[in-house]
Amino acid sequence: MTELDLVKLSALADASFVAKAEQTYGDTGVDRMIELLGIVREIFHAVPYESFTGSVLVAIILGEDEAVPEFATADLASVAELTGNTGPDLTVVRLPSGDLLAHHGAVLVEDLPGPALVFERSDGDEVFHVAGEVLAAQNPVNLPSVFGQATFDDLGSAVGSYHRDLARASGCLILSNCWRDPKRILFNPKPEASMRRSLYQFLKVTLRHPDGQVEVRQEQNVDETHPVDIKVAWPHGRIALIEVKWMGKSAGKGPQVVDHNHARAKAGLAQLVDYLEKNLADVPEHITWGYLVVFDGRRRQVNTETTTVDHDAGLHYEDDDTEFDPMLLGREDVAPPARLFLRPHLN
Amino acid sequence: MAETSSATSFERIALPRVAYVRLQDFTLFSADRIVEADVPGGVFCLAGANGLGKSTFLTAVNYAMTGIVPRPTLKFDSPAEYLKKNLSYADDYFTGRISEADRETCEICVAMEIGGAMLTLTRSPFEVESLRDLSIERGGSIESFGDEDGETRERLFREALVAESGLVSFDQFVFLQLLVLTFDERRHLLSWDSKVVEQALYLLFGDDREQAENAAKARRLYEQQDSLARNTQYQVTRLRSQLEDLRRVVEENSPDDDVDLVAQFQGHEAVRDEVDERVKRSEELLSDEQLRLNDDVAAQVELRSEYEATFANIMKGTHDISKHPIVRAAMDDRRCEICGSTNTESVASISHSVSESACPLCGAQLSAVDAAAEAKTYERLEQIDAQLEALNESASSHADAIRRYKDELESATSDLDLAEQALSDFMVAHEGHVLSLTAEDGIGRIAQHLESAIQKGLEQKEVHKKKRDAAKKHWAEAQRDVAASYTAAEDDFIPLFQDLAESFLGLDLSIALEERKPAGLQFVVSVGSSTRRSANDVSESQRYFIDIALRMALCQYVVRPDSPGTLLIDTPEGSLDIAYEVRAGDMLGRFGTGGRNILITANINTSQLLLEVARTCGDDRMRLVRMTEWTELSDVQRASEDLFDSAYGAIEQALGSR
Amino acid sequence: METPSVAYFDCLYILSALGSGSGGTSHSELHDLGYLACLLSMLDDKPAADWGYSFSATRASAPFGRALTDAMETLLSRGAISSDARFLLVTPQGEADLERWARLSANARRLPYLRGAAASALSLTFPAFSSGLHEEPQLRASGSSGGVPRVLNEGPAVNLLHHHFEQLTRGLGERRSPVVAGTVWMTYLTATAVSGDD
Repeated sequence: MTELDLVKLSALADASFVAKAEQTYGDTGVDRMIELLGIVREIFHAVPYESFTGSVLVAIILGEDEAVPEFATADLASVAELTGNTGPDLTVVRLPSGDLLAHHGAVLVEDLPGPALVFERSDGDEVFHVAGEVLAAQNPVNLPSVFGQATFDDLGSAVGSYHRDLARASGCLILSNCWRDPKRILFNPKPEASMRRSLYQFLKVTLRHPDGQVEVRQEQNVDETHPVDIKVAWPHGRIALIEVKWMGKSAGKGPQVVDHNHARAKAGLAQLVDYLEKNLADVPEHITWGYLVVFDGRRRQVNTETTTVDHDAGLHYEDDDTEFDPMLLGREDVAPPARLFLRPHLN
Repeated sequence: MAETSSATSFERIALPRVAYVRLQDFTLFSADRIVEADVPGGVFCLAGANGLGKSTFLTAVNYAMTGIVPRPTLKFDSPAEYLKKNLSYADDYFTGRISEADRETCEICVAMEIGGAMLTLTRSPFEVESLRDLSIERGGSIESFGDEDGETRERLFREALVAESGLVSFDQFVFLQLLVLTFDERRHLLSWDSKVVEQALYLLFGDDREQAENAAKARRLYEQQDSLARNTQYQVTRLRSQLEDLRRVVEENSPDDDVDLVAQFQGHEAVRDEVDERVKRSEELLSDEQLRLNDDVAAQVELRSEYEATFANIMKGTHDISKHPIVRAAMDDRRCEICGSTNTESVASISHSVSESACPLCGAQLSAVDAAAEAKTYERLEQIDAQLEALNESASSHADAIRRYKDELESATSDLDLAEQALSDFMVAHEGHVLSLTAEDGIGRIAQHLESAIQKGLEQKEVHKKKRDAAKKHWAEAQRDVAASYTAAEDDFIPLFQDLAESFLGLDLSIALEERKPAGLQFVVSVGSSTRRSANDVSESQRYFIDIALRMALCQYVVRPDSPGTLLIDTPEGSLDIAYEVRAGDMLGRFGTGGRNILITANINTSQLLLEVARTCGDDRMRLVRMTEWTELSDVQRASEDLFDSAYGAIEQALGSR
Repeated sequence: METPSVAYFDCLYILSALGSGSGGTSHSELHDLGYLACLLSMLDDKPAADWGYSFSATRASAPFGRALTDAMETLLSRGAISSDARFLLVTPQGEADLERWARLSANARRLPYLRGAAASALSLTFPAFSSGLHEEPQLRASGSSGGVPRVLNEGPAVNLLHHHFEQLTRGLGERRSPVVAGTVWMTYLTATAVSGDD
């Protein structure tokens, strides 16, 4: 029987902004918090979080008084009115009357009229201000935004987003740990486990389909004949098998260096196709296809002694795609492979 | 008030209606030597101030009819014993009320109508089981029994009455007349005396009135044998303790010499009985509370299904056919979702139906959303919701109470086990001594004598217990039968009671028969959802009228409408609120106008009760008698004669107003 | 069988609370939230049978409350909800219905649990929330039984749930309102789900 970590539960309760809202303002606090979360999501639905370089502050003013904010605001019929071109900062205030006000500038929490439940995003951090306390959103996967993270029903978009928002700069803890050095020049030995896990986590929290849950599982990768790392199952019987490979160099403390290049990616695709043919020809009720994801950490002319890379050496392979066997790529059950180039930390 | 049209199999009984009363030389009624009154059908009201002899009048009428005055302290056991044991009390009762000078000449004459006969009799308060005069009129011919002796007249009267009534014995009539039809100054509540209730049920609802006698006998026998068994046990215990004492004496110097074993034994027994009471009390409370909870739950189930049906109605009433998934899909895909046709005409026909608010499948014309109807449905939904909410609260408070009573019952039961164990330990401890007395001849013999007495006692006890158990079996069978008969009659009987009682109390009332162990059958009246045993919510005076309603309902149910008897009610209003005075008056009045008869006494004061009875009955169904005219008034009373006059006047005016 | 009135209410509440910020609510999210609300009521010592409708786990869908699907269909034809790219949204008519229905006490009694479920889902990405919910003992058990259809909240798996509840209650101490329990529990389970130790 699974045992829960009571200390962790207790810590989560201590850090919960929802708990704080309920504890301070009762049921109303919860209802307003639910509304606040809804509005925040709507804002990021209308305007991607990346377009705000400054801060986003969303507040629901509590209490009865018709307090009016002192900063300049514009009435907003609905959040949907916000569009791309909003400037670096945004403040949205919902008054007790239900009126929604938008201010294209930064506002301090202290300058809000009256007690409020406040969401604030700045420097990539998302926090809530409740009754004088600042409580962070729970972000177990280290997404760049919990409330602004888009969700996807197709794997290509999800992996694209994973690359762009997280992997390219090794933004998640797991990926950042698979590097041997802080400049991200060489991998640690056997980095595929971490890569697989990082991708798995991201898919787990971003894949979504209107008709039902998208199930994402890590597969036990026992030998080369079972190359699948991650299995994704959509409603209506669509299944994707993801194989993770990497390119670049890995090294431990010693002198031994493992170097993977295009051949590794090609071999990966061949294995995947082989597996699809052998194992899945007789499972007609599912539509299954294979998807190769290659983490590419190649740098030009580096070895275990290298401590820094410049732009040319670091990004030399960024656009160097692998040329796969067209026969394999032409198969209906094979998706175009994704190469995720992981950038180094440049000087 | 509608008479019941019950199709039950039992024979209704006839009871005598008081038609005429004459009191001669009743010292109390000093104004005239003879006080007399024709008593027409409906309500006959004798009104007067306190101390004018209203109760005496009613007692005298009942005495004339039954030949007895009930002894206030005598508990009812069985009709036969009730009659027998009360015979001697009339003398005591009237002696204080009739002066020595009037003793010989004083008499009461009552004419009563029963079935097809008019029985007219005259009794002296001081002659037991004997009539001074009797005549019986049947079908126009009158038979007088002037030549017979008093005892024969009494016998003939009893026989005639029993024959007309459909009862089995005169005892039964006496029982009904005095304990069911009479609500007297003692204010015994019918529903509270289990023995009376049980007997009434046997008589009124039982298939066989013979059985009523037997049941009462069985019950009596059970109680006697039970009591004998217990007495014998007590004797045995005492003998044992004597034997024990004897042994101690022999053993010498025992520090327990002076211990009074009987006292100890009784102490143990008292503890056991006390705890036993607690257990019974908790059981009763628990059962009450469970009943209440069941009521709530049943009501909830019913209301909930109405709630769901009402809600479903809202959901059903608002369908827009164009939003039906099949229609929607057909319009989107330009293809009939049922047959698969993609023919343009087919699809056009679907859109046409939709635009005409018709079902594309069956063609039924669909009404547009009716906002007014929906609002109305919502209103009902909100009502049900509020009722459900109230039931929820009530159910949860009952559930709390049940938990509490269960705990109490558990603790009482375990205390009872302890007490019984202690008692039995005690008995064993004092039984187990080896008799060491044989050596001493004299004492040895005494000991042997005691032992044999103990043995005999134990055997005797077993005999009593056997008899008791046999009687108990008969009694239980009778109880079962009558409970079944009553249950069969409930559908007709309960509405009669509710009609009367609710008109008085203005609250939902219901009545249920319950079996109490060992007390027997009992009526339990519930007000709203709470059983009456938590009697705090109903005032004492209100309870009198609920009890009167029960008596009325019983009469309506089992007494023939053509010979309905007379209900005697002694000054019932007590301290009712003015609102309830009106309601009580209405209740009595409706009974009176429904072909039934009441002989009632009342204080003449500002009470709304009589006014309302008068308003309801009018001249033809109510007679008011000014009792002040029968007697010499006290000075104080005389001083306020004007007040009496105006009070009488008001009632008389109300009588005429109808 | 007639769809119970509370299913309509739950359906509208859930869709309204989740709003349009993520494009609407998916079918499985509707069932996820309904199921979590039901679990929170059980955590609050209410019998599962009092919830008004039951949930099952099938290979195709778990948790699945048939009543919620029926209610959703009827609400669609009533015009109280609409679907946009198959995601579900509440219409103004639906908001009006919801406001009205919330005043009925049978519905009001469910609010604490629905609130708890909504706050839990909104605190995370919806897929993350779903992953977390599927770490709950009963759904985990149904997953590991190879998708054999079963009714939830009865049978032996409930014991697992109750064991889980005991620990949860101990971990939360005094702060065990449905809202706190729901959000903390789901956040915890989501972390378990993504840690990938399955």
